[in-house]
Amino acid sequence: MSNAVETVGLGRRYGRHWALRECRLSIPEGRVVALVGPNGAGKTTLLNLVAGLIRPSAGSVLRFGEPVRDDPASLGRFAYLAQDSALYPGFRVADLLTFGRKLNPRWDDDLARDRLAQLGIPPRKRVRQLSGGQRAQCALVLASAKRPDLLLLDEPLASLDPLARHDVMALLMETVALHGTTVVLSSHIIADLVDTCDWLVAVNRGRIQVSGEIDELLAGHAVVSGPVDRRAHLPDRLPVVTESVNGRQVDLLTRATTDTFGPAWSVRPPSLDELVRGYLGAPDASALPGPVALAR
Amino acid sequence: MIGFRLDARSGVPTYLQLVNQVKHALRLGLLEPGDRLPTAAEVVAALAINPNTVLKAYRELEREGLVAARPGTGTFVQRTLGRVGAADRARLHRQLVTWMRSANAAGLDREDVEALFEAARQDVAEDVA
Amino acid sequence: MLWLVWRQHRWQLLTVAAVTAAYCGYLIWVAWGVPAAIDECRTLGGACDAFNLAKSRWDSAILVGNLLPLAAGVFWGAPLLAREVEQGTIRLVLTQSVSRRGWLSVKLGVLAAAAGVFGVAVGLTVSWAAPRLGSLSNDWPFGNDVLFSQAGVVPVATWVCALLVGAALGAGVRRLMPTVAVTLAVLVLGFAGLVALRPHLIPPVVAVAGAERMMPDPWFEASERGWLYRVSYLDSGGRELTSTTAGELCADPANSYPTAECLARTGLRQRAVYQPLDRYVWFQAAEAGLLLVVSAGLALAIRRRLVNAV
Repeated sequence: MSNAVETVGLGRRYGRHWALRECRLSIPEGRVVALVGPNGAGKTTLLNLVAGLIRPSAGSVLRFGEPVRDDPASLGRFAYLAQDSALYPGFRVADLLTFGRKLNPRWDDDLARDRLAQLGIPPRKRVRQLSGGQRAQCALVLASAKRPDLLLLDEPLASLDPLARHDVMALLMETVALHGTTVVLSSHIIADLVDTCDWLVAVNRGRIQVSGEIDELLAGHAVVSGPVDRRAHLPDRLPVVTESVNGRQVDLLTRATTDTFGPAWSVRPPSLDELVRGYLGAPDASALPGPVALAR
Repeated sequence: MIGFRLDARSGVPTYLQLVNQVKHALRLGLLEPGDRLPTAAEVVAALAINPNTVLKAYRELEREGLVAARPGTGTFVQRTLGRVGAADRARLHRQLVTWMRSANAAGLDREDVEALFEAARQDVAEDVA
Repeated sequence: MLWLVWRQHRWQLLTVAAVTAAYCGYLIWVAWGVPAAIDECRTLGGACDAFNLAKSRWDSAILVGNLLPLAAGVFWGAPLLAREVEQGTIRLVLTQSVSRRGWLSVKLGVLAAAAGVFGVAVGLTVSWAAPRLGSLSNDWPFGNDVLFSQAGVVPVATWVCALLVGAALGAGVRRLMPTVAVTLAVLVLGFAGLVALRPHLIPPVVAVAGAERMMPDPWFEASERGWLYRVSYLDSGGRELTSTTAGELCADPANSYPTAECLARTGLRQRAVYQPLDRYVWFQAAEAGLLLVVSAGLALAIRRRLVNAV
């Protein structure tokens, strides 16, 4: 199975500031990837690099094993839904479909029309008359009707109410189910991603911190909880990612361990949210394929 | 056709919720052998979940022999979870009719029959315990 | 792609087309009756009112006409990239299955072609209309700062160049209103600079002549003889005198400027610095060429900028 996205030593610098650096990433085809990280961590930079909208300052990007090229064949294989999902404000919805049809040889007009009809967005309406949610939906329809093999979405849910969020994700998941599309979805709301994503990429301070299959990551970590005054009795070699103290209880996010710690301690698998927050709170820790650096 | 729904706060993994809902429908006779389960695309379009989750649930059901995937056509129910098969049910029904006739002949009324039925059930329950 | 250019720029194209058509129509209408008005004016005792009216209309129209290429820069060129970037739609359009080079070439190509067509319309109209007034005024394109750039092939290059200046500034400034402002300033300054540069494109002819071949003096800068830069007089010692000083030397009560008779009498020689009429086409070619070279450079710069980053 080949990789939909592969980056080696990828970096992007703005002036003297590295927005992203030394980024090594492999995303297998057919995955639904959650790209998470604090604001300004480099999520958008990474997506822009993969989309070929900006050029790397260092390293390289491969899409489906091929370098990013400025030709119709390379451009036709992916679609990008940018953060503001900007569409031409003066265009009618029908014009957007013509736009998609004229500029994309793989365009699926029936799919686009069906979707818009389902969403109840009238083709005669102008983009500027649509609500923020409808605009995001239109942008997503435009992106999916392009029939991409790779769909990049930058904060597609940010401007949406919960109902619209559900609709957008449903539309996205149906596309994945029908066409095996690889999806990379950035968000800082983990709850939106729990049931939809199966691969996690966490970016923090311009570096890739975590990359892997969510089920494996969850199985490979544990939350160890117990009384804070017994913390010192835990073995030193316990691979702790991060720990937090709540009153008299201490919670440790650790890599999976076969050790047992006595009756005072409980061990349970982490939730995705705990895992993500644990790593983002400990920027020096990482969970990546290959050699791994640990916090301790 | 079965319609799935999710309870995000149940703590039960999503794929397991789908498995349980299919089993429940099988027990109640809402799904019968030969029925087609909704496709992954149909499920995710309604629930907004990862298609692999649906496939994982269907694989689990397949492993238990409850459903079978037929390439190109869909996933179909193989057997029901009703614990009594049609033949068993018919045989027991016949035996009960025979017994009821003898009870009638012996002059038992409706309440007598119910009292006897209840007593017998308790005897069997004690045996099992 | 053609559809997209039309859909995005149709109003700008139609508006500028309408204004250009109105302008050309007005010039034709004004110039149409001019020969009759001139005839009337030249008849002894005839009235020149009709000609004067036409002339004042012509002058104001021609001044306004120099602003027309600004429309191509401001309405077509400036928004081409600046608005896409400002709206964020650049990321939409650059991730469709059309290469950046392809997108840019079609957009610039179509708009440059439209600019060229409008330039041709203006060039033909002015080239046809100006000589109708020229016999009585100085409305010959050669040597007339405001007419030259609207006659012949120069307007084609001016329009195309204005478009590319707007587009290139948009690619650099990336916001629409600042781009519009900067484009206006650059185009106005550029036009002034071009007018100042024009006399130096080709070195002029310096002719020193006696009475037999002297040019009429005074005479207009622009005339059917060519483009006159300067007339002065040389005395026997080789010193240069202005027309006025020379006229005083002539001491001819009927003429304040030297005449052939005066030159023959005093031995003054006339020194004329000018461009002969047959150089008109070369000046046209030189200026149009210069503008087109600048345009091509700007197009390359835009392409480079677009290919490298958004």
